[in-house]
Amino acid sequence: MTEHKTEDLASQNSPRPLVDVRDLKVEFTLRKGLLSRVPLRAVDGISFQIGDGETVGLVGESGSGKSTTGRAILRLIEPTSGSVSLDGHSVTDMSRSELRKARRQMQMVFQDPYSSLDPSMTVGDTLAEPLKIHDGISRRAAQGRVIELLEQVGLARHHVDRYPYEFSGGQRQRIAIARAIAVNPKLIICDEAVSALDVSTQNQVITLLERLREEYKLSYLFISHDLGVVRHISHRVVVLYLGRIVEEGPVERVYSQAAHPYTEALLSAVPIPDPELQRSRSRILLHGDMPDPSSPPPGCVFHTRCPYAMEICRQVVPESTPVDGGGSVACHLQSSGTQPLQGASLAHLTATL
Amino acid sequence: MTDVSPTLFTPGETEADLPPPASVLARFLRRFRQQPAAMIAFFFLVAMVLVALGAPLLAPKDPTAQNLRAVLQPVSGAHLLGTDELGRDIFSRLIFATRISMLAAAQAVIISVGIGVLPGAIAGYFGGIIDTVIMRITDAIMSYPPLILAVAIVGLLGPNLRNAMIAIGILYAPRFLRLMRSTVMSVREETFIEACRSVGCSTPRIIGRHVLPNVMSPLLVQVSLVAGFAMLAEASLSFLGLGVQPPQASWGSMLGRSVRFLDRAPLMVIVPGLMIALTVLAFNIFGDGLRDSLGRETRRVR
Repeated sequence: MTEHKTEDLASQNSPRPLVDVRDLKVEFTLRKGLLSRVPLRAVDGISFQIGDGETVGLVGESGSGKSTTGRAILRLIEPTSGSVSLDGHSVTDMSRSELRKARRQMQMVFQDPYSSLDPSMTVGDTLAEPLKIHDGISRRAAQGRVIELLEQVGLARHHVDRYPYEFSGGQRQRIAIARAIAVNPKLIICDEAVSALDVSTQNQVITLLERLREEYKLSYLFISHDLGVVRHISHRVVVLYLGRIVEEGPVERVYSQAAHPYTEALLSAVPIPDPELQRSRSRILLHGDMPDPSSPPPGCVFHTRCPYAMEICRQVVPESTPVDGGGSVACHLQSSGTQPLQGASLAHLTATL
Repeated sequence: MTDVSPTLFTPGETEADLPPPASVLARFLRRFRQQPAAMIAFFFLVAMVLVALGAPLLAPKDPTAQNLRAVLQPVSGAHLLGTDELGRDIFSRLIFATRISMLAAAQAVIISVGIGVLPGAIAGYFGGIIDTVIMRITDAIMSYPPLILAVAIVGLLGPNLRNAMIAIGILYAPRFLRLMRSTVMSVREETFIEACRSVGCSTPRIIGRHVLPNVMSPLLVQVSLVAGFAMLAEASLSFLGLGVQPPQASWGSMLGRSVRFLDRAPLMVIVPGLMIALTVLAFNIFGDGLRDSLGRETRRVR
């Protein structure tokens, strides 16, 4: 019932989502000891949509399954179950050769600009490769487009014969972005694309991503642990914890009125660039680490660290509930209790406890 | 190639106006020329190859003509490096031996590269059961004492230089296999391989265009090392009578036979030894030069 509601909500946001992820699960097999193998569910049944031209931020701490989700959508990691469709075509049902062809629609920008470019290829060769694969354009004939790409990401034409080692981190990330847009994709997954860069370079790269979003009508899945950056670039944000979506919704609503205690804690850790405000506000400190994903806790996965944990949280998995102001949350504070509390702010909720 | 849509170019620009992409060869030469030691080693090896090819023209005397009345002669106008225990001209023998030594090293390297590189790359790239099977076979080969295995192979095939080199090629193949396996394994884990997959590269393209160029440098260094080792191994086998058969000579067999006359004709030992040492050294320096001129470019501190 509640699931039905969230689907309706999503379809209101964008009539036909570009990317539709449904109940995606990714399991790894973990070796424990000599013979025993334990399944580890890195992504545990997540569903979300990305509309045309929309940027969705995917946040969560390390180990929450952010990168795995991004890779599973592109099938760089095979999902265990669930489906992903892009522009109406099911990515998860494609054969290997169909998938290779479909890759022109969906590209990725990786975290580490120092290892994501082939060190033995010139920048020109790296940028020409997708053109050769998808359009069959020879290296020589691709030169025009390669130079155009370089100039579009703010590099110069004489950089074409240089090797990656001759560039700074920010410049390399520009090259990686140029490679991603070379074949006019619809979706680019940015996996911590600016995390390895210093702050001023981050700004430049984000400005570049925003400009390209307009020029190429791109959708982004912006994976990051930096909530400030995500707020800046995203339209909507999805919060992951231990491979599950705990909250999602429009950026303004989530950042001003977090509906999940985990989101609230994450947001309270974002520094405010005002020393007075920064000192006066209360920070919510989460104790302990994320539980071992190979044996997730029963009930709500967050109950081991939740400051508001109730008895029901230890037993029942909370269902996704719509939130006032858009999006949904999976938290018993929001979905159970004596009176219908749907969508109320956390401060209000906890005051009544 | 010619039917590229015009939108690919910025207005007012034609393909002819654009600088063409730099060719791989031009880049290689630019980098190689910057290394004087490698250049010297390269010219030394070229000279050795020319000597090997032109041996009949260069040798002043017949390398097999004996003269028992002029054995163990010192350096003279008639015999540039003297004569050996059978009165043969050492200089001429040395020139003909160049041919055999170079050929032997080349054969061994080609055989071991041929046997080792592809299975090693496959084992490293795919891992799992394929890797296990290939590595267990390799372990079995490596568990034999090297010289015993060579002797066994030569015993099986018959004693001549070609069979000796087959044996040495087989012996050194696991070196290439293990090297390829480990370097391919580490390259394959790098993000740019995943990036290639996300761009849409097929597996053969990833191996050929991205993995192999990035493992070329250690491979070339290994080739130059094995060329040196093969030369030495050939000397050992020839010394045991399992390699080159008299009256033909290689540097190794000349060295082996002349040890007994070290006190009376030291040049007979020193000159072939020097040739082996210089050539092995040249192979190594040339290999280093290749490594620094091919594939992965890194920032160099000068």
